[in-house]
Amino acid sequence: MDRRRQFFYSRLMQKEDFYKGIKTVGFVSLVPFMLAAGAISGYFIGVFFQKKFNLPAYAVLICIAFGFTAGVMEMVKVLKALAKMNKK
Amino acid sequence: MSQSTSVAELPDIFAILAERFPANPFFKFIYLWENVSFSLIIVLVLGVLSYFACRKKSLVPGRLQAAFEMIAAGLDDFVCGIMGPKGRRFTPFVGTLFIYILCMNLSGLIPFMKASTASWSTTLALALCVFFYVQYTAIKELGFLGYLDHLAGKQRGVLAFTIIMPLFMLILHILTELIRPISLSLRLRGNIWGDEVLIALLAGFGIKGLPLLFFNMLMGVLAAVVQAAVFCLLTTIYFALVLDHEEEAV
Repeated sequence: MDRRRQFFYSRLMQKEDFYKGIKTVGFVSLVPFMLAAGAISGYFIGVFFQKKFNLPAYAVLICIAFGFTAGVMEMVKVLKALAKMNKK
Repeated sequence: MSQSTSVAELPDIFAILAERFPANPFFKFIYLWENVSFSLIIVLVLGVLSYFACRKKSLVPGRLQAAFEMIAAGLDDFVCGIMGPKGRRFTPFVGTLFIYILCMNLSGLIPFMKASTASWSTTLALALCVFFYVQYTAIKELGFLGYLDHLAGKQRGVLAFTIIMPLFMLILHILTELIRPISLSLRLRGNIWGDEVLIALLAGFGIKGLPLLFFNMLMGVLAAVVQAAVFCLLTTIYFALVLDHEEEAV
């Protein structure tokens, strides 16, 4: 039982490293989805507005650009928050 | 609802029952809603476990109570480590999400079960819960006009009097908010679904594929924990971004 407890506490000591690893893995897996989601959302919003207000075709392109920019912005925000957490 | 995909998928218990008894409307119905059914099974199991863990609370806890207390303390550390002590009020929400998603992810590794998180409808529902709760918290904390100001980038000085810059920032921030549930749900769904498909493909190799299958099962356990933790980590970051106003200088 004592050996088990020792093993458990040694694992607890390593939890900081574990959290850092998870944060990195999570961010890496999020980047492509975030960039794609931005452009895709922009496309659908653009198509919606184009049909609703009878806008020219380049309005969709503008919306895609907005969406992509928003995706990059979101990525930077999350990256900043993660960097701040790692500093702590 | 269940999705008919052309990729390999291991049969689950509801699919087998629906195929074995094609005339039975109950099995047909439950197969049609298999993702919801498996989610409800997880809810039921967690509910029963929680009931037994909390039934006889004592200062010197039993095994089940000790295990639950350890999980709760770990989750509280996780949330408060990111948001500080003010984040403690979000621990129940984030903790519930973590345990629920983890159990759903792990259920995909049990024979004749299916990970509900491999379906976009489930993950999108979870991500929408996060989205609406974050919006509610933001409006509650900042007020509606304060939240609009926050979305417009908190322009002060000369920039506040121009229309273009606040409008530009408002559109970008609204899009950013809309992207969150999509990216959050697609990431979880993509990772778990990919793992399920890989297991199904390796199972198709028969005896030769067993070592790889076992290895992939172990990786699947790791992926289940990591994906659940990352979902909660991102949820916590979204709350932190709303509460930490100075963070928004992007």
